[in-house]
Amino acid sequence: MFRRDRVSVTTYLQLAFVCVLSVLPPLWVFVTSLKTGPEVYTYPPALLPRSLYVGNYLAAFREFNIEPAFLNSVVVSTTATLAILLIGALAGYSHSRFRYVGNTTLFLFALAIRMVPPITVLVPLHNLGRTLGLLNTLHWLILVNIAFNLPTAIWIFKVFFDQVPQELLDSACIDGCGNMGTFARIVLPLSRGSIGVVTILMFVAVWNEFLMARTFAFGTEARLLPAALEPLLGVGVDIMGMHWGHVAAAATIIILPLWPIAIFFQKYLVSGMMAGALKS
Amino acid sequence: MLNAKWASTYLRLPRRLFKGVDDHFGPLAVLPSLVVLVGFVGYPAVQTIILSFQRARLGETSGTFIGLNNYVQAFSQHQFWNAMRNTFIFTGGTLSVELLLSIPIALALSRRFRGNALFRGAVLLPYLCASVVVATIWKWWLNDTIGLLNYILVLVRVIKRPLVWLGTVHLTMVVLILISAWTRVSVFTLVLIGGLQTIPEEVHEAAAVDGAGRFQHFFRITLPLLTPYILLALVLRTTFAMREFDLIWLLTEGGPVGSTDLISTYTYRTAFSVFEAGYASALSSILLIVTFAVSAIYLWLMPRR
Repeated sequence: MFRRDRVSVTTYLQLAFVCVLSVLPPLWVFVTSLKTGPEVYTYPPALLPRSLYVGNYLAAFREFNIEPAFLNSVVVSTTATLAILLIGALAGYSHSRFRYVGNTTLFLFALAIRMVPPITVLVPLHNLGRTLGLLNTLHWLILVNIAFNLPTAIWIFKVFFDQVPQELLDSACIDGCGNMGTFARIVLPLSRGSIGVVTILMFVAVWNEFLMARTFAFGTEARLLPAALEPLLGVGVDIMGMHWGHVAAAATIIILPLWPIAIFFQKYLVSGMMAGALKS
Repeated sequence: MLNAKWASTYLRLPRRLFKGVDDHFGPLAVLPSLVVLVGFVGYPAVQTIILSFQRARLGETSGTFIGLNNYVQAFSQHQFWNAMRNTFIFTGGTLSVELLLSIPIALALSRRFRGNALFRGAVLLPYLCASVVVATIWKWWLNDTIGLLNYILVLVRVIKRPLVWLGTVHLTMVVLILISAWTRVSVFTLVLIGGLQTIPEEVHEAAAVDGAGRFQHFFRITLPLLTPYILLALVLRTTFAMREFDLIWLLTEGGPVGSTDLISTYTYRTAFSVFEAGYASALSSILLIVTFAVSAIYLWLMPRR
């Protein structure tokens, strides 16, 4: 049933090389975050820290206001992801199963929206946010993040829903299940994978988003993690004159929450990214 | 009597409402997404185009109409053409690197062997890193005084003395292209793995029986069958590479001397450092048009099913 292919040692070595290239750079930052002040700046650098030093993490939390930014990021990413799941699943189902005037046009419109680079609408969004009094609030960041990630979610949901056999929906209909019931009891449970895929992709996208986070929030009250890290890295910032161990710790804090999510949803991440990209 | 009748009508209201919603579920379900997409992307995009014909400062919702002046200004400015050229160099560069790297990786990873999932997970790691984290990683590695890369390369005698990776005119663009490819090669790889899995086993067996060599096999069988997926990956990545902002902003801000300035960074500076919203909108409109034009070309190239 499950066949294995013969793979030569050369292929293994090539793959191992690729993995080292992918893993080593982030790993090095993680290692640096565990070093003490003088250790960080030794040259040639030591491969392993002498002891597991957590002072950098404590300092990062204390000095860089990481804590409020972390909580803000959690709130924005979670809320935006949930909203995208809800709105996206409804729209994907609608595009997948219903015939009404303009259905195809609206789906193509959603795909076209996906092509719009956020930077091109930043000025009108800035004006709109100011008019609504939402600039520099988490609400605004949640709203714009929903908008820019929604098209991808709609697309993935539609692809998954298209694979549910029509006969099942017909039999549900005959048994007296309404449209909403069919959606909630048949379609969604049968394409659970789609929820996994969209959750992981959207959470990662919102968590990592930088451009809008830096543009639409100027105070600490609405600052998200990526924007909080920016002042530590600016072009003019000389890394010899600052405490790099703290920056490494802050960077590690940003990646860390994605790990459990990525591992939990790993099979969705790989299979879903391919499915979402392919069966258009 | 009247009261009882009214009471029953009201009591039935939720049920009737539910029935009404259920009967028109299709169009109603798409409505929330439509509101969000039009309100926060579609309508602002139209506003960008309107603003591009005006002289306006940031924060002013309407300025004075000046016709095509913003576009004339853009086309007559060296900075604009420099940013445009850099955008195409960056996009072309990072896509080529991603394509060339992803084909062998995808060929290897599409086989079933022990540890495959582990390798896939490792390749995906850079994808999970936020752009600020990517910038942190590479700023640390590429530092000219204590960076590990210079240390290693000097040690193995590839270079004689440490290089200033992020501050040398032609070198920096190459470095940024490689960093960008590093973060997104996994997207390309996954699409190609998906494509490779659609090729039936029989095709490979037939080629082997007919005595095709490894190169012949790849160029005559695998590559042609993979072409639609390569095009698909290219569409996905091109539009995103052309809008790349984060890495450039965090690592070089367009420098040294504008050699890594892209349309995105140029637009951003114009809008949010100089506050010329009208001119920035013209630049944005040009990026919008170019993005859609490139996507249209790809769609036209895509084989019809």
